Amino acid sequence: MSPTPVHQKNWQFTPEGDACLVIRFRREGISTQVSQLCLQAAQSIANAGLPGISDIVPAFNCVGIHYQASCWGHTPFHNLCQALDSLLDKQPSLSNAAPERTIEIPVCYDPEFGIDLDLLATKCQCSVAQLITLHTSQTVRVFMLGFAPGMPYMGILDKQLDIPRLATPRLTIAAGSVAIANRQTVIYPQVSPGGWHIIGRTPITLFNPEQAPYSLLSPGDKVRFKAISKATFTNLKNKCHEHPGH
Amino acid sequence: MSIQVISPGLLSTFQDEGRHRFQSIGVPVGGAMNPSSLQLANILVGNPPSETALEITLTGPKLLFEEDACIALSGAPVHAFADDTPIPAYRPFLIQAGQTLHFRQDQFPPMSRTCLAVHGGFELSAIMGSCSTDLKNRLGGLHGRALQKQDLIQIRKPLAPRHRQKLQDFFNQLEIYLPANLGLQKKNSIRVIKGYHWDHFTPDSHQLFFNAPFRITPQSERMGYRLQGPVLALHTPLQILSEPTAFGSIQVPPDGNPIILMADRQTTGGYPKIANIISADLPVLAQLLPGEHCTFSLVELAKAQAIMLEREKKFMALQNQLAHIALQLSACYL
Repeated sequence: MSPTPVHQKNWQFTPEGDACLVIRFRREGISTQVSQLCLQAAQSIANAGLPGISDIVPAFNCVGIHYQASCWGHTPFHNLCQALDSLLDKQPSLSNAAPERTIEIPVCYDPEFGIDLDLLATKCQCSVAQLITLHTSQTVRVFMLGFAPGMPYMGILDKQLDIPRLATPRLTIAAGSVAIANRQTVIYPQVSPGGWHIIGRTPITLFNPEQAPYSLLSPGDKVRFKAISKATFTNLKNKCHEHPGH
Repeated sequence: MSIQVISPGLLSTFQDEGRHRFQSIGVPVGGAMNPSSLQLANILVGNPPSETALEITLTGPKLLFEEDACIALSGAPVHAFADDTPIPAYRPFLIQAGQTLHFRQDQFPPMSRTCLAVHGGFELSAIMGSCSTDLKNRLGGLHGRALQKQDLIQIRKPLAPRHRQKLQDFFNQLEIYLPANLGLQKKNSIRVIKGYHWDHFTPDSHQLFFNAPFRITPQSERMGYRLQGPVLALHTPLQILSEPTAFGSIQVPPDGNPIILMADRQTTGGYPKIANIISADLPVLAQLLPGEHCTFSLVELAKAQAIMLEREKKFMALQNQLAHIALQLSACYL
């Protein structure tokens, strides 16, 4: 008997409790391609307006779907998976993906803000100036937001910046701190604890709960960092206080 | 002015069903730790089940009502009074202008949390679609924080004193039969379904997870419950990219002590997840006290969802039975 070809899907559904499921794409690690798959899935699920879906949460290589089981019959997980499966089957190829925005984020890399610059330069075997150039010379992708409101996980940074997180996280990090670890870069929108190496600070507001769309960045955005002086930092900071919108 | 906060209690925060739709930008859902208790308190005072209520933790506040209002308490079996009059649990109660709602504080209640609902709701402005207090991000509720002494809270639908007798008669005659499956009873055994990383844990850990008691440590709050028990181990260390989490996800950080993610959890996490608490038992968990123990037992996902659907059906029936409360109260506004 010849083996029957089985249509191998590119994704699987796994329960995350009885009111959430995760669509997992069969790819390891972080890549722009799998991130695009996640965002496209998230978008088409949002557009479909399925009943009882409260949150659609794209991550690096999966998408969380929070749902109300009572909207999905007697076998909610099964029924929702079927609906999602047929949506994903109908998805256009990635080449039709929506154009992505590029957002410039000013960062002051003054040692007063970039408290880990020296240590990091030593670890990466380069000068502080080279490190800043590495951080500002490439466009990074926002893979997902998490940890705190408006906090972007961005990458993938140059191989030279592949440094693990701090062994002991700091208890308090200033709002706007720009940090790197594991070839990724983040910005802490609010004062918070954190375990990444801090290389600078941005004066701009990343999260404003008073004004939609609330978060400056969305998954899929492209970001470029622009080095600014301390004087410019102060100027922009004052402006942000006057107009906290984006 | 409607309610004066004479004393705030240990941790009293306004909560509704949470701030949904924004987990994709990292905003925690929050909301009532015990969703059943929130919904029940609300329908007892003729509110929609999702209306914002005051979530009271362990020791209650002292609240002076300046106007008549219909209130209900649901959750821990607290000893609550309007001046000297005991307030029955799980029933609408008319508190009169000038009376102070207070709790007998000589001993901790045997459960953690109580919801105080008031007919018409509290006058709060929604932030990102919700009035839930997010303590960490200082959003929602009353100035994004817990109640403080001397806070003033407005209520939307104060009642006219001339209807007191009529309302009291109405409340006294109300027959309320609470279904047994609303998750209101105290239990220490909690049901879970297997988590995504279950197979990565050792057989010993599987066995211990279901057979050993876990202690809820004092470092347990609205974000998560930190448990202490046998250390749970993976076959080999796992590198996990941050991925979505849910209310009731049980994460196991490298030290092997599980953390149950609760209402104020972060939206994503990078620790392996051994199991997920079923929705029907989240209210039970929300009522356990630090220092108490819990044990876990396994159910299938289909079963977990069937239990919840059944509960929602019973709750809907109760809501229909109590629908006349709102009608009665709407004729008594100030």
